[in-house]
Amino acid sequence: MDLLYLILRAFIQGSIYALASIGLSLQWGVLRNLNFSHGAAITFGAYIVWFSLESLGFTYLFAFIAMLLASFVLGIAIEWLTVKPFFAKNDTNIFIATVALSSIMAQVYHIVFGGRQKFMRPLVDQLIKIGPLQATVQELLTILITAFTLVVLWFILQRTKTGRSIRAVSQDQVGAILSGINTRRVYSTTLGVATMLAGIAGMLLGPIYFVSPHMGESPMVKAFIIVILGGLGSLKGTVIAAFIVAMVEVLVGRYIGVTWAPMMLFIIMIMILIFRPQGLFGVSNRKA
Amino acid sequence: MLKTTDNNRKLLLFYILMVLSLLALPLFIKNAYIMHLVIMTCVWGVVVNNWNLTLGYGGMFHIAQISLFAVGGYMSGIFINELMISPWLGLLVGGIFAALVSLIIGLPALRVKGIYLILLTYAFHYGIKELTDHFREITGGSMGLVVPRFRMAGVALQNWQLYYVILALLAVSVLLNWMVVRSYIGKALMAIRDSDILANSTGINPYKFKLMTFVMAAFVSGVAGAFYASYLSVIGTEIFSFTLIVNALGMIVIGGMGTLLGPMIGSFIITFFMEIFSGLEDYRPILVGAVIILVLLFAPDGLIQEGNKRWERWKSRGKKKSEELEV
Repeated sequence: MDLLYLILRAFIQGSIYALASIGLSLQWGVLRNLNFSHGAAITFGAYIVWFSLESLGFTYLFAFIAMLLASFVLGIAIEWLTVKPFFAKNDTNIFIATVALSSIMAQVYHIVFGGRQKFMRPLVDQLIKIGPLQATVQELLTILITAFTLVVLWFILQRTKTGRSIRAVSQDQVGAILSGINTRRVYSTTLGVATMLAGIAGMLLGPIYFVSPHMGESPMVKAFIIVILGGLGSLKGTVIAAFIVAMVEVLVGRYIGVTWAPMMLFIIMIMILIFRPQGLFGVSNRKA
Repeated sequence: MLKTTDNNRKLLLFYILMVLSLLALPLFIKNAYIMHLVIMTCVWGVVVNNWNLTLGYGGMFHIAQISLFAVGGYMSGIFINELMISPWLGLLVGGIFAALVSLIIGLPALRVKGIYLILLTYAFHYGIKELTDHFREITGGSMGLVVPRFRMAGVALQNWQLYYVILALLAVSVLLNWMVVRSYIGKALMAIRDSDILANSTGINPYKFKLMTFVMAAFVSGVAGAFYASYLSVIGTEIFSFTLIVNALGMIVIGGMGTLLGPMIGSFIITFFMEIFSGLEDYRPILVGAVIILVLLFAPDGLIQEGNKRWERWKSRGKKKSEELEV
């Protein structure tokens, strides 16, 4: 029964990881570049929700909507500042610029909201127990929200025009331009959507951990490992890898020791890079 | 032809003057705190100098240099504390362990490039941090590890004496980099950076050369790390803070990536910049970040190159005008 409980925990953990990393994977698919400010975007979402709830007195629904809007705008701003000036000219500079931006953003949170950890109240504060299994309602909601977000994302990518152009650009940049897609706009939209996804992850992380200026960094490291494991640009792979990573973390943490979990993940990452660099579900041989 | 030799002679004179003024620096600086800043500039100068060798010349975009620096500091500190070796031997121990650890991360990581290398080394950075936390009995955990200071004949060395130690290390590091860049290794490295497929087809083994440079850079950084630990007489987990990576990256970007002396000038600028704005405690990381982005936007080759370019343009514009006047 112990095992069943661990699987439940891994499922909760994994769904947050999936949200945190899918935006990263989406951006990689379209821009072929790494956005290091993704962790700061996760923190951003958490802070906006916290601020709306505590200081503005919004309900959760309005806080959620406010966070989505703010994150989208932030994503477009990130694109404008760090991607637009360097794109296709110097890819390293995009990375360095996002590194600098993430440092700036963390410090802005520090100044605006203070360094102290903030407690974000959960949506529903209740504990559910079924036999040996127990979880807070918030955690179960986390799974539901993740599932819902992923379905919506899938729908957008498959059915809407914007989603189709995002997929087109991520398959073939030149082909997309030739068929009349405004790639410039696709880049902005993608970063906006990815930042929204990061924001949702931040909102869900808030009640579990505390809200603090650097809270997004450790999920971002996990997200890096996840996107490599799942294959950069493969959304299906990313989701599956998120659950694998969460499972490894929970099992290693339970049976070997909590401090060994990161080492284990690191070893897995090296193994994957040596034997299957394109990741479990990644498409290789595309221009990286 | 005559002009180039003239230029070279000027450059040589400039270098000699620079070395002499660096050697005479302790005579002019009486303020202990400024001396400390100068020493820190040199320490970071060594680190970014070597990071730049792998990053700017080798095209390996990794962020492991600070972690290797920390490995050097921690291992030297642990050896000094546990085995009672002298801090001078600690320098060597730090270098050797940094090189060994760089071999462990380099062997798998340098097979991949681009984003994979960044991610791997970033995870490595966190892995080292976790390890330091894990073995907190010998590393001191978040309290930091207390390391004895340098002594000579039983007397603790003054800062101005330590300045010469780190200056020597910086000189060795720069000379080593200069030699590597001018040698076959450097040429191979730059060929790999520009196109590893072409380099490979001309018989250069990218993996071998990358690994060689990476380990060498790690060794020198490790020695610098050991110096840092002994000099400050403490090394703590804040060495893994992300701000340090951003600062060091800023030094390279501001000074000019892929130039020999640029990163050290960047190190000088950032170290003193942080100090000048020390009143703005909380705003400093924002300023550094903003400066990095601004430099990337408006002087992507670094301030030195950009200044040179502007100077040349300004000079040639004046010439053109005078020629026009003559006509």
